[in-house]
Amino acid sequence: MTTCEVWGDRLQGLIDGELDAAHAAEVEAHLATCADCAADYGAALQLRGALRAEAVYARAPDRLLARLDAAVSAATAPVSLRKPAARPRERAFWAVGGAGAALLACAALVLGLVPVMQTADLEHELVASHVRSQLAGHLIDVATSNQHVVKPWFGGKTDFSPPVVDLVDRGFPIVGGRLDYLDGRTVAAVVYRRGRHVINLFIWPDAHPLGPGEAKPGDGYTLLHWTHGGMTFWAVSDVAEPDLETFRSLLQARTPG
Amino acid sequence: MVAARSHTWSAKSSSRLSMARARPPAATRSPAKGTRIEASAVTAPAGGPLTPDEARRFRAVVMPHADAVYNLALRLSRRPDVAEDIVHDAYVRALAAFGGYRRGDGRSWILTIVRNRFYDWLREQRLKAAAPLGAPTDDSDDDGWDPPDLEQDNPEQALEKKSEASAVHALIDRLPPRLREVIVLREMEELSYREIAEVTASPIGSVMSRLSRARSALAEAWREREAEEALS
Repeated sequence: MTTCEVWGDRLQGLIDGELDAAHAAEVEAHLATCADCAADYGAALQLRGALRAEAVYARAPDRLLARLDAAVSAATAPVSLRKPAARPRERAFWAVGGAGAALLACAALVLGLVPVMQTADLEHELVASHVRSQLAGHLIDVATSNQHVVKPWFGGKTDFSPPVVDLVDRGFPIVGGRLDYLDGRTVAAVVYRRGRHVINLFIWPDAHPLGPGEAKPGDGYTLLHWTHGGMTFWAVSDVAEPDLETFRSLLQARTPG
Repeated sequence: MVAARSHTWSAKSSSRLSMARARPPAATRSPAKGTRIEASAVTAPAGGPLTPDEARRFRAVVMPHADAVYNLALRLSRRPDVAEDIVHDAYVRALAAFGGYRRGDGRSWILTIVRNRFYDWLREQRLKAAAPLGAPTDDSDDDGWDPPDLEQDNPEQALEKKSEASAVHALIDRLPPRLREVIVLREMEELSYREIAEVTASPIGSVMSRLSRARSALAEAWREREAEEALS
């Protein structure tokens, strides 16, 4: 844009569609007579073509979209999804145990017993999140085996401070951490490994603990829930249930209460 | 049962992530003209949590521009990890200020915020790099300090990159940040001069001269690249 000083600004205005019709016509007339300006004009359009190629535009990765979505949800006043009155029923539901639970869940669907489904929904979300975490690229937002890196990483991103416990000496190395969105809130997920298996440990503060730890094996995934020091913990994995129990007791022993 | 669970999740996730991808084809996009961005809305202190209604509006007005925001953040910072953090940070701030944001173009608004977050990051990097204290800052019409581009130790190497898209990225990334931002906003987001002036907090005259410099530099680099390709 340096060849024809007098016309430089107006030429650019034409390129950018910022001229009114009269001025645009004037510049176009000039282009017909000035080879330098015509060359500049052509170069600018060629450049535009290269810049507007679809592959040049970087789209937000899904991982980032999920983070943004979680940020919106976290900044939204909570709508109470789980009515406290429903809790005794939920517990009774889980007391029935594995196979019966599935039957009851079907019955609940038919009968429209919504409160019963809510804890089932949480369990469902936990497994879904575990499955999703193993899809490409989503497992961890911060990749490190160092608990002293994972913990502060959560610091700026959650409104609570999840305990991050190292168990590498017992065969459960930390792989990293991730933010997840569960049960209407942002939760911390600490990712451990046991051999080739992944354990997702979901942590969030819970004003209404669900009660003592309970294992819910089935469907190839084991869910283990407990509370400790004002936090709710859910471990989800496809490791054998005894392994997950060991994991839980080791964690509990080392978590500052 | 497991399959059923995964299935349910994907149904959920698609509704959750449906917010983005709202970039219509270039030909059909027409930038909204003349919407003023209230500076106070951009820097307003954190309000309370959003009401469900406000959250819905935020998802409708601001969320669809996640791609535009990320694209700008990536071209400015030139680092995907940094770009993601800058975008996330910008959205957190936008959420906090959303109570004070009433009308206007959501895209310009969120682009303004992410651009400011980038320059905050840049300032931190400059301090870390212990650049001279007299180094030029934002409000002057200079090109600004830029951290070293880790991926481009030498321009020749950058130009050898295989795909056309990464070659274009390399060309943009070699420009100073103030030229990068105008070229991205004009050519990729198709913002008008006025909108670019608002987003970059610059007079329109500066926008035009930066755009002109950016185009000259890119056109020249592009010609060099073509010439080299013709030789090889």
